[in-house]
Amino acid sequence: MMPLRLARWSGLALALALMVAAPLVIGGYWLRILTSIYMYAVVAQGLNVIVGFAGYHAFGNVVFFGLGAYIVGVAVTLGAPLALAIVLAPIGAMLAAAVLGWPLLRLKGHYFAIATVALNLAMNDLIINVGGVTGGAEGLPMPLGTLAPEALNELVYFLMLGAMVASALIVLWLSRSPLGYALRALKDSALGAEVMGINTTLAKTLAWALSAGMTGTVGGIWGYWINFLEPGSAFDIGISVNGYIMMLVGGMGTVLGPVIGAFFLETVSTIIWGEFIKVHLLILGLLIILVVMLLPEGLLFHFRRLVPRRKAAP
Amino acid sequence: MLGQTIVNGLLTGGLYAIAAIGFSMVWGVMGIINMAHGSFIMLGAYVSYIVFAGLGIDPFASLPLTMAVLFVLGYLVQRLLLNRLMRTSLLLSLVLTFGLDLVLINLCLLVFSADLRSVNTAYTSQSLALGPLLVPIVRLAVFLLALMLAGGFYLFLNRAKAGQAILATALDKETARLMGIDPLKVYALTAGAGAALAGAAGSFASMLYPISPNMGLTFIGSVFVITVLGGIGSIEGAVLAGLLYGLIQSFAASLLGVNYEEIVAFVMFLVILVLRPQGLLGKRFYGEPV
Amino acid sequence: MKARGFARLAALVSCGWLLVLGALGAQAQDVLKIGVAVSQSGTFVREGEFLRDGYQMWADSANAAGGIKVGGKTYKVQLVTYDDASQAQTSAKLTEKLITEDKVRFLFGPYSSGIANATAAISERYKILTIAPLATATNLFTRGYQYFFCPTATGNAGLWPVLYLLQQVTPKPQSVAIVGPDDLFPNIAAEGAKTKAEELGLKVVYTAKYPKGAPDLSAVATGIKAGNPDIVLGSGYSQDSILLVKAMRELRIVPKAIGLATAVAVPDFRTALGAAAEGVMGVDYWSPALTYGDQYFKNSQQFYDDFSKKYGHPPYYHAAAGAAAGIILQDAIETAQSLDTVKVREAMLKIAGETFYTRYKFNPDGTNSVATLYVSQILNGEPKTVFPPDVAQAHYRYPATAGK
Repeated sequence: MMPLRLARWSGLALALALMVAAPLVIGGYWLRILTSIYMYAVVAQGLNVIVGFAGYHAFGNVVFFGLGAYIVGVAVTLGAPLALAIVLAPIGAMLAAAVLGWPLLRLKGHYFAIATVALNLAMNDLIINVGGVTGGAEGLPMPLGTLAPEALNELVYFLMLGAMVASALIVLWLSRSPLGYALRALKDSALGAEVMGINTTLAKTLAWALSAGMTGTVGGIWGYWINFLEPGSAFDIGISVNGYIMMLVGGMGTVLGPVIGAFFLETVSTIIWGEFIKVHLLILGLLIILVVMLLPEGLLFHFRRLVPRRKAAP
Repeated sequence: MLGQTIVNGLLTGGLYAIAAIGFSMVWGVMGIINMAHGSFIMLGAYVSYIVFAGLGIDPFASLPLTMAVLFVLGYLVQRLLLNRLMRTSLLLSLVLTFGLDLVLINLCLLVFSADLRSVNTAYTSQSLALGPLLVPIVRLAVFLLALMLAGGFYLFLNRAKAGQAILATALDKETARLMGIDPLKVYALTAGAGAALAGAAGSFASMLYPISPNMGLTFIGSVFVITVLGGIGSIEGAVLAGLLYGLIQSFAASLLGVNYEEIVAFVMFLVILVLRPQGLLGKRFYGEPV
Repeated sequence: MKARGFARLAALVSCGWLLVLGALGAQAQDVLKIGVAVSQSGTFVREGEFLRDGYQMWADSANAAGGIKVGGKTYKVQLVTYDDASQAQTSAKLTEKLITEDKVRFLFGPYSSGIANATAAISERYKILTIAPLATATNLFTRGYQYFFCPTATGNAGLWPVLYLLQQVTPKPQSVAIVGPDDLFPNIAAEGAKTKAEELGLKVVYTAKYPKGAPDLSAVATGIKAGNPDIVLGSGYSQDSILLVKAMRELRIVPKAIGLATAVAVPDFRTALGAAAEGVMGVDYWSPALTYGDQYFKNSQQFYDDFSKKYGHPPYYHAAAGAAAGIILQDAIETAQSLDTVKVREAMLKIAGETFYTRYKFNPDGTNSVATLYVSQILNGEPKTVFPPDVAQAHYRYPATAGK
């Protein structure tokens, strides 16, 4: 019998190999679907860090997505090379999280959740009112670039895939690191964590910064991909709601849960969208209700219960 | 122009207040953030419209009917869906009601299509002239009715037995249960009342704004801000905050430019959350699992 | 073994996934596939459906007449339609799907300029010719796109016809207020209106941009009242235009004329406002009274009748624009005698003619140099074309005091 670890890692390696090879086999539209899945997986991972680990339900986390998108959008429009822009996106997002986290992370539970939603809306309005180089309400058309569409799609595909793998590795590291334990401690009981000597403010802020960095990165890549930015699309609350549900469906607090959730939900969404033109949003709404009622712990949780484990969970 | 700005702000604020009270109560008593509240408002508007277009009954007259219909809806949603969640995570309620919102909006899109409708009575858009100020009649009536409904609800909570049961459950669920109050029934009742108030807001809105399945989305943002500003679970807070919010928006529009009215509101919201999360008149123990 | 089972499942799913994807193949026939990217749900559902019906009207007419003849072969027109849910992101996705999966040869564009911006980037990359008859935002045509065309007048002229009409009245109006939501097309129309108004010697006493979904416009109305303009121009959509008119009535603002950029042509506007809509003027993109003609519709009245019979309700300008887009595309294809995108594009730049909806001759940037706009006014509850004089169905009323 293969050792647990080896079997698991080789399975993942196989999946990864398939994903890397995919552009050779499939093209255009389906590649785009996969790219979207990877993007949402990262958004879900970002939420996983702040919600699953730290217990702060940042419903409006999409604010970092939009921020990343606009950072890349403005940078590229001003002539910066893509590589630089994509590095700036998470940096900007992380800075924002650090600065905003100071006041906002003091809030608890629902208050924090609502504050993040308000933050998102405020940022949306800010971009609109600043206008100018951001394009404001009229949107920001970015330069078309010289890449042929197939090449562009592949580039974005690999960028998103890379981001997904990186975010999963980060969460893996987090689950084993002192920071991760600190977060789980403060999620259980902030007071208890403080008593144990954990600097909860620092831990929370780091978590949110990490979350923001991930989300901002894929936001930036998305911005480059879609080539035309509108505040409403970049700060669309639906993105973080989707991510939240994916995280829930897959299983929060786990490493692969968000990825599984992203695959599942995005696939189902796409099929519904293709088949039921008029009512797809309706079906999506019903699906959300069903998921919340029936699977609040997530797919991974139920999955694991089906297959007996050799040793207890860490 | 200053006077008109104040009048505009107050009158609009009245409508906002009644839109927010139901939401605030539900959050305060059960800790549930009902993202579908905007859809309840929208449904209230459609009920009023249907009764008006079909039977010719003025929305003010059909108000009790609208509120009753929405009460039943809110009660059922709580009883059948949300009560189950009370045991697991309250934040899941946010997600569930988001899904419900999607369902309601899209159902209405299917049934009513996105065509804009409106309730036009003989006195729509008429206004009273008080000196240099113009007070639109419908808005004034809405304002007064909103205050009356708020007052009535306040009295209900504080004097009626069922109302006091609601307050007791909000304070301490376990002790209330020991006193023989069934929390689940109380929750359903509260949800029904919250929906009924939303329905009233919708009924008023049907006379002031174009009716469409998406109209709830325009309200939900302000409802959030007002709820938090006034204090979650506080009726007096919601009324006060609603009026204040209307005034602030009105002044922001007049002084800074209309396009700033939203961002001013959100910045205000964030500031309040950070400096005084319990809002103007909120109490700490309402609906907040520490 | 939990992990092994998991790994197996993952592998299985991935393989199955790729198999499914691989099995999807495009089927080629003697069919001309044209992709249709419109909103069939969401904010623009109504306009999207009108537009789609217009495209379909052309497709059915073309097929009924035997199809499109290119290089000796006859092609049946097939429209492939997906719903973009009024979201730019989704539209981008579906544009890509139409091009790479469904292998459409040409695209018919969406109603919203904002959405068109997102899809134009994609169709331009793939060099697929797109005709988007209602995506009139000027910024679409300043980016150097080669494969994007619009037969309707561009957005910055969105309110000009009202201003031109008002140049003819006596006494001439002196002041104007221009308001609208903060959004792509309205901003362009408002800016264009402001420039033109100043050019014509009008004093712009008040401008305001309100948030797109603003539920309450009493602040705007208060501002208008303070400026006391002769004319009020609104660059927004149906919903906010209704609010604007109501708010102005509440504050007893009675300008000599109200001109709207889009709302007057849409029946909702009239039914929602009732008597308050009387006298309101608006820019219209089409009128059944037009006398242009083409091979399918000898004039606009015929289109109106044929469409009403087929769909059970009368067409608005969106449907007319959609059908015209098809007729123009057909002209370009038949002129080029090829389906090759580069050749058809060259043909687009050469052709000149008329459809029942508009005459056309395209500039290199994709705009129509001979596009015209009209002014309708709601008179006795019905919109009637009042400008330009050669297509007027009725004489305009000025001052256009709406009934109190």
